[in-house]
Amino acid sequence: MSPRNTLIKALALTTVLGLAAGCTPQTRLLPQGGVDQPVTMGLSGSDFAQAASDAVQSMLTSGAVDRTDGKKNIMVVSTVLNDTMQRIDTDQLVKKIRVDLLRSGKVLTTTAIGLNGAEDKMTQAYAELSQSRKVDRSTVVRQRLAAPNMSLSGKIIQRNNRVDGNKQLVEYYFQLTLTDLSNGLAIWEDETPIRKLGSAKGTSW
Amino acid sequence: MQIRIGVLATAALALWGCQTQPQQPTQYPQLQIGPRAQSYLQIEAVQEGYASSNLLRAGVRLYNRSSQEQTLRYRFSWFDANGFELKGMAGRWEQQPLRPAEPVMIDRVAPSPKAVSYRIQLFDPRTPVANSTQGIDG
Repeated sequence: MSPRNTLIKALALTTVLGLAAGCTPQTRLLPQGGVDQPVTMGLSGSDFAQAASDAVQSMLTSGAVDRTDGKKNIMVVSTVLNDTMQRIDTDQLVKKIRVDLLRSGKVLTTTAIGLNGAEDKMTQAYAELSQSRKVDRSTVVRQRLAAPNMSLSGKIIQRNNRVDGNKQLVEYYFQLTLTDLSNGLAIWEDETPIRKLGSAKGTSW
Repeated sequence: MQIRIGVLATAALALWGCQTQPQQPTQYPQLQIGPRAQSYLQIEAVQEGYASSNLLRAGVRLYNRSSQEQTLRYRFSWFDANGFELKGMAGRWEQQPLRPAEPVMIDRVAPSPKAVSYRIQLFDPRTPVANSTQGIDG
């Protein structure tokens, strides 16, 4: 191979590599609340934020979490079913609701009681400290766990429908219920629908 | 003389057209309206009260006075007694479609009992982001 051919090949390779690097989309940070947020057919963080925000606003305006005795409600998170075609962690929804309810000063969430045991295992581990010889027992505080008086449960549903042959309508329903544990009655219920229209070629799972 | 008046009028119109600062209607000091949104929004009332006994609640009743459907981008900001902004999902940027002449009520409950004042920002999505401050999202 002549030196000229080698030079041409090297130049061509550099040009191709340069073009490829130049065409690669740049990663950028999306600002919160920006207008150019990408919209996906699947569930995204902004959908969970919308559903959680609607639920908390509805709960607070309904008066369901008001108490006249000056005490705060203690909520336990029951089951939030994912009945969508996507693999999602329902904590994305529940955590936002918990945080906003805590900020409102109306509701505390127990992490010591749950359908699958304590969310924070340390509550139980702490109870065993009083039996340990390694721990100064005078520093161990006697536990008195607060029992919840309300439970949050719900379901996320997805429905896909073909529209006009080449479009599809994907509907998500965030259904939530707050139950008074003293009598088993639902004291608050609401549903947030989120509807997306897009190409039928796109997938929503 | 006529030429001078013409030049002055043109300059005044040009300056008015280039105005991009959000407006604060004097009647409603809690409102901050973007220049584009100003052109089609008609504010009917700003309401406030309390929800859940001690949480500040604010709302604005408005309608779209243009003949086309518009999209409004809005945000409620909440402040404590020291003027610090309070975090929470009630301070998210949200969007609301506005059909012509259809009255709409937008209201939110403050994220915390510490909230003593609020501001409502109403912008058109086409207004550059630099003009509408980025919100905090819980």
